[in-house]
Amino acid sequence: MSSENGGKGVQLIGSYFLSVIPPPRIGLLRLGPSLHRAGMAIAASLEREGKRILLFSSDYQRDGAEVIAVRPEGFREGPLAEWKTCSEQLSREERASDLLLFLLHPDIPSLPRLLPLLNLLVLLLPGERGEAIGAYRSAKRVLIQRRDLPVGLFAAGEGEAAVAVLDRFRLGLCVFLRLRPLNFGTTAPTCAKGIVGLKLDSPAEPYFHGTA
Amino acid sequence: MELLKAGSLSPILVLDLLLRGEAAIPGVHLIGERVGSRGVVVGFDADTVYTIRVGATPSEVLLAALQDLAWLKEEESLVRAIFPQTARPLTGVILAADLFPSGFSSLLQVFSFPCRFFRWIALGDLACPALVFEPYPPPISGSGTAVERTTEEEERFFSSW
Repeated sequence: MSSENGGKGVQLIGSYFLSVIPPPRIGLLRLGPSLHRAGMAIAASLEREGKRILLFSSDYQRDGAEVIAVRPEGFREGPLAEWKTCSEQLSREERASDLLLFLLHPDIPSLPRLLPLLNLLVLLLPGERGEAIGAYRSAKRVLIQRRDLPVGLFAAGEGEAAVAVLDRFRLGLCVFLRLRPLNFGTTAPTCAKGIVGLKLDSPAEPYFHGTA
Repeated sequence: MELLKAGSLSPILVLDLLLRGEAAIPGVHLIGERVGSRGVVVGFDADTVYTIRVGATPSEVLLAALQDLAWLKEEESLVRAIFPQTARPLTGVILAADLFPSGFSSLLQVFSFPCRFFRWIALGDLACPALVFEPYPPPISGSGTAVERTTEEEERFFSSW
C-alpha cells in the first residue's frame, strides 16, 4: 500500500469512528428526460473534489448482493427505496460519507417525505429552450412546498442554449417565486465546486439507522 | 367566536397564554416558565431548541429575538440543566406575529440558523381571548392547487423567447 493510499485509508477509518454528525443531504432534481447522466457527472465531480459521495437514485438497479455499488468514478450508489431499511451497512456508509446525494424526479412518491430532510436542492435544467416551460412547471410544484430550502441551478450542456435556460430560470425564480437561486453553471465541475464552496449545515438526525 | 382586531392583544399576554398552556404552537413544546435572568421563553421541536418572541409585527421583534438567540447559545448548559429533553445542539428562533408584511417569508432563507414563523390569530373577546397559531407561510399540500399552477405571465416568460 502506498503512503498516499495509507493516508486515505486512515482518513476513512477515522471518519467512520469519529464522525457522528450526519452528512448534509442534497437533492438533485431532474427537470427533463435525459438528466440522469448530469446527476452522475456531478457526483463524480464531487468525488474528484475530495468529497466522499453516497448517491441514491430512484431508478438504481441492484444487480448483486451488495446494496451499495462502487462506481468507476469512485462514488457509491444505492437505491432510493432502501430508506426504510435499518441497515448497519447503510448507516456505516452514511457516517463515512461527506455528502448524501438524492437523484430525484419531480413525480416520485417519496418526494414529499424527502423534501423536508434536504439541506440543498439543485435543479437540473434541460439544455434546450423548448423544454424550459415544462421544467419550470415541475420546479414550481416542488419549490412552493419548501421556500426556505436553498436552491441551486445547473443547466446540462455547455452551449448557448444551456446558458440561456439557466439565465431565464434565475430571473424567473427570482421574479415569480421570490427565490434567490445559486448559479452552479453548465458543467459538472463548476457545479461541484459551487456545492463544495457552500457551508451546509448538518442534519440533526442520520438518514439511515443501523440495527446495532 | 369573532376575530379580534389585529394587534388588540398585547404580546406579553400572548406569551402568558402560551406559558400557562392556554395556547399552543403546532409542533412546538414550550418550557412552562421563563428561563434565566433575562426571562427568555424557550421551546423545542423534534430537533431544535428555540427562543420564542411574540409581537404584533415580526420586524419589531426580530432584533430582540436575535439577542435571545445569542443568549440561548451562551446558556445552553443552563437550559439543558432545567429541561434535559432540550439538550440538542442546534438553536434557533421562533417568531410569532399577527401580521407579516408581503414577501417576509423570503427572509427565511437568509438566516443561518433555524427560524420558524407563526401567525397568531386572536378569537373571542379581550376578556377571554382564544389563540390559534398557524405556520407562516401557510403549508400547501396536495397537487394541482391554484398556487402550484403556472400563471399566464409565467407561461409567456418561459415559452416566448
